[in-house]
Amino acid sequence: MTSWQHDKSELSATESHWVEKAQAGDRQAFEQLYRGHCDRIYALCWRMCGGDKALAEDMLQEAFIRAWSKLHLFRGDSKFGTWLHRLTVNVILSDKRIRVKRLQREQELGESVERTMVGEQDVSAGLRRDLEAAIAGLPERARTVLVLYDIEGYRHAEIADMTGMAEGSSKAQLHRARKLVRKALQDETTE
Amino acid sequence: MSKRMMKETEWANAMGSLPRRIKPQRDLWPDIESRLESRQTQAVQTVAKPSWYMPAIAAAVLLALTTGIFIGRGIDTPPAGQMSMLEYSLAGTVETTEREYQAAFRELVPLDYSGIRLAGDDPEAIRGSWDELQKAESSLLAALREFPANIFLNEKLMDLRSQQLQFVKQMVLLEQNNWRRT
Repeated sequence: MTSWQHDKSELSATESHWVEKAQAGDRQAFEQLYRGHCDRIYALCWRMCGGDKALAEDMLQEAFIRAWSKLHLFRGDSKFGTWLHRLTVNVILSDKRIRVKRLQREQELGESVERTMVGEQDVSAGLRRDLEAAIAGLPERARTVLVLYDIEGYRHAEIADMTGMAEGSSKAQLHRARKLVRKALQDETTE
Repeated sequence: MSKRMMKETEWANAMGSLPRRIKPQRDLWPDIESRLESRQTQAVQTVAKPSWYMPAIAAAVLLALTTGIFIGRGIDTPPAGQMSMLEYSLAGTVETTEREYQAAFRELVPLDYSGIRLAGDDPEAIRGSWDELQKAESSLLAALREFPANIFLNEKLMDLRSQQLQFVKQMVLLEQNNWRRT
């Protein structure tokens, strides 16, 4: 059970109603689904795209377009949000631009990242900003695993299934990602 | 960030503090809606064929295959050990085509044929046509079991597979289009 699935506030009977109407081709109902999920999906896209706002927006759009075309395949076995979330991960992982970016990132670990304002401003806003920047600066595969495992709550078996890597590789990438983030945060402190 | 971040619990807390929702800086729905609109228009244009299109294809293929099977049965199969290069290459092509067909069919119809919803455009006629193609396949495969090296029958099997694949693609497109329109 993922943290995503635990999010009780996400879904309701109203949502099932929107899903049914959207499945019948009602565009306005689909817009309601978009409105209900776009922030959550955007957060996923933004992190998995390494803080690239334009790419994250493209990924979000692609995810919802894919969702519309595959909506008739959604049988209600899982919650709509879970289905949409998984579909979005697949869209991002299969995107060519992401793969190209991965190669570039692997070579440019020191690259600076765009810092987008996230979350509400409070005492720990600085900490979160450093953390987001450290995650965004990770090599692509390591970031993918860290975001999916540590933030989105997927298990290694699920990540392996989605990314095509072995379960052991997923664990290794997570270990590497955590180590790099910790190092980046320590460097941030000592500067 | 302090060194306490090194601890596992602190790590989990830090990860938990990251926002699960981030609002995009602009409303992306208008772009999505516009792309959906253009896709729908494209789909309608692609599948804008008369309702008799697929039944007509099926009928033509069925007639050709049925005739072919009967004619093909009369052609002598060369004795074992005397297969020409042409026959060997044909056997390889048939095997490859068969694999491609099976793979494509599995991909195109993940929910199997019964899972496809058809609305309008005389769905009963389309289903009937598909059933006829399936019957032709059964007859052809039965004939091939009897004369496995028969060139004519193998060529007919390749034709049938090609037509079945085209039929399934059309069905999927039609189904998606109908789903959008209803």
